[in-house]
Amino acid sequence: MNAPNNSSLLKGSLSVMILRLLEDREKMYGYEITQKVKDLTAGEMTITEGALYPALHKLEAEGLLTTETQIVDGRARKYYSLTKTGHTEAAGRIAELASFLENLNLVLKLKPSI
Amino acid sequence: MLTSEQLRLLRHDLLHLANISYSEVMDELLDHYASLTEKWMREDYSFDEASRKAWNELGNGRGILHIQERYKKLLLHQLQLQHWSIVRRYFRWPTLITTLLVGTLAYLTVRAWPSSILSALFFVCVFAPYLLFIPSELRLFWQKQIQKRALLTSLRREVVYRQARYGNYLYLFVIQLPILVISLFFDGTNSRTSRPYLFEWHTALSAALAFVAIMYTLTYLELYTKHSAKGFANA
Repeated sequence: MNAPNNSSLLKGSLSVMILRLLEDREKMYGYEITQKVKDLTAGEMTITEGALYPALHKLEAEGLLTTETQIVDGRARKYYSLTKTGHTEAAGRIAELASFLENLNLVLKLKPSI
Repeated sequence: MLTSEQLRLLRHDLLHLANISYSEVMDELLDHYASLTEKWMREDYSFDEASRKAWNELGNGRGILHIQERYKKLLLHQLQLQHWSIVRRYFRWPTLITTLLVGTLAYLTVRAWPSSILSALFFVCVFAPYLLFIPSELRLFWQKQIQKRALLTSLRREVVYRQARYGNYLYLFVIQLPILVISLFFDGTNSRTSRPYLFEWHTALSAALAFVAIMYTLTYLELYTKHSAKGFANA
């Protein structure tokens, strides 16, 4: 992740973001994921390739993603999609992160005691 | 859409500036590099400018090489876990029956065989995984040296090959280390100096070693079959 101030904040949530995007789409390739995140956040959040590919490879190794390669525009393109386990795991991890963010928000919105 | 010559130039950057050496990583990064270049070209940059911008976005050579290194580490770790899970399966029902039968057979057989043959068999068993790679090694040699084709290495093939190193450790601990220890601690008056191989000490020990060697070969064979079925890229 590259945005100057949020890189460390987003580090732990990258895999959840990938899982969420793939829940929505049947399959996606690396570049497409980076662009989708950029579009959704109006350019506020950018994922670097150095963070994205290790995260994708890790999810693949964990059996949550599966891959297929197609030849597009004269070059090989690797598409990632969720496995059956990936679908189940995605739901759990998204719920977990959402609950964490909710609690974090409660703490951040704490009004100063008089 | 990039021309094949432009793709060749991008591939050249990844090969020579970032030292990408595995086909699996190359395919993925080339597509990303090409997509970024196309994005800048759509904004009216020339190919040279667009590819330079894309290269910087990709993190230059060092950032790209880092992706390859992390992928390799991850695959190696994953393979070790898979190998260990295959080994554990041999001790679970119903495979446990076969395991016990192999153990019994090993015990009964080693009683009848001389220790020199057992040492030789152990050697063959623990190094057998390397033999699996001979056909693909020959094919690679043919393509690279005879046909002069520039080929990338398959990362999957390399990590599966590296897993075979446990055979070296077994050989080292069972054959080499006892010989070394005996030569260091005994002066020749002890009867064990004339019996440096563990296979010459006790039947049960010989059976256990034979069992470990057979188990190692069988589990590795299963691991190899599983991964070679997915393909070793160019090999």
